Amino acid sequence: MGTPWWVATPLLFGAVLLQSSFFPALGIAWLRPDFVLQMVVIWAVLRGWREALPWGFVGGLLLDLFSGAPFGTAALALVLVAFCCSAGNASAFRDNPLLPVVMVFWASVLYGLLYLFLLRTHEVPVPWLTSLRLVVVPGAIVNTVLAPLTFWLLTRIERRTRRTIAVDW
Amino acid sequence: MSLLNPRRPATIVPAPSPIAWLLLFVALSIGATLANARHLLDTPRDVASRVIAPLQVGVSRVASTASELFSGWSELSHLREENAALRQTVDELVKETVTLRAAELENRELREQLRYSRENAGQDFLTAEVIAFDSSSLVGKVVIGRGADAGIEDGMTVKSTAGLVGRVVSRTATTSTVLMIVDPSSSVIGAIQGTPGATGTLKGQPDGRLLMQHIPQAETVKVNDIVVTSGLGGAFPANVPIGRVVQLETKDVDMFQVAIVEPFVDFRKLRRVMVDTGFTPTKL
Repeated sequence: MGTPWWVATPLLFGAVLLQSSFFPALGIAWLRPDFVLQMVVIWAVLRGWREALPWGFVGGLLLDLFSGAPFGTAALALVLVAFCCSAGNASAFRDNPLLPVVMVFWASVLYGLLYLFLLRTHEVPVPWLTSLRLVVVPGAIVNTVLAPLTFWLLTRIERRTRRTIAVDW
Repeated sequence: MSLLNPRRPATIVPAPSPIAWLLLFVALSIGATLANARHLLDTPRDVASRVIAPLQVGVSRVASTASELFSGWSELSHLREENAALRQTVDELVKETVTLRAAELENRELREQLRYSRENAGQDFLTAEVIAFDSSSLVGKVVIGRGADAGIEDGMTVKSTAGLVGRVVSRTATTSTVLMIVDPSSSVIGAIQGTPGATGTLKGQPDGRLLMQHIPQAETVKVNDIVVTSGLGGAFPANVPIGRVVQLETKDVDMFQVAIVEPFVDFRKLRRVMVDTGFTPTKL
């Protein structure tokens, strides 16, 4: 059932390395894409909640490993975002890239709000409005712009890992 | 017998409900937070950090090289070198100016303060490479490629050639996490250079600037004034350059003035830092 762990985990790990070590070292200040979030949201649309929730949890734990924020913050926020994105019957539109791309924008905003809320519950000071204006919304726009690329990559992986049942008549 | 495979007996696996699946992963996430708070994950995280750190160094270097190559396409190489040399000279001159002003101030101020500075003059530094930025843009922390094995301890001051970067908040054997002064949870007591009474608390802002609060109304503060660490509280050594006042909010009705400070350090392009191993922060 589902995508093998040896496909999902390296993909998510590579995404974390890209966003924590590769893009910051490029020195382009505004370019801080959240690839893990994009992957979880798009996978939620492609495969539904049953696979999106483990992806959100594992991706979140990997993000937490690379973060100074309280451990588990990203995992919990991503699990909730994955659930929201896989609610309904989004996978019916999985061949149309527009829905996942639009979803990435709103999911980025939701993830940012949840992350800030969870930081606040750990008594970390949170300047809500400035964080939203200067980090969350610009980050959501960058994620949305890059989402078609992530969608293209994941649809290929999704097709390769899709289970086909040979019916023996 | 299964219709799909006549050799295997049919088994019916009940599908979990979405809510049960969600609750399971929410519980696992909260469990991870609690386990980490009780230090149950310290060893696995330390092992993971040892494995991941070389990868982070490699990826970061590849990106730095790629960045340099990319910039090389749009500039003539000698201009870039000249620019870098000039930038370094400007950095050094700013640092020198600040150091000279600090020395001048120290000479004018109380002998005790001067003695304190001299006692801390023999500072030891450990250089380290920034190997990762926080995976969340909402958190102002970086990971550097030196840890407890190199003698780094929690609370140590981290600087760059331009000025104050932050302090070490956690470490593994091979890496350390640095809370940068631009993180909203960071708090540094600073002073306006040349105006000894004009101290205030600097708080990080998401736009990369610092908000200097609680500056007494009686003190004269001007735009372009240089802000340094005051040394009060004992968390940071005194007279480390922090930034320059770019905006001032003074109202007669308020008890304190508020200043916006532009840090000297460009935190988004941080590559190498120095950890002050000679200064022992006071643990309050």
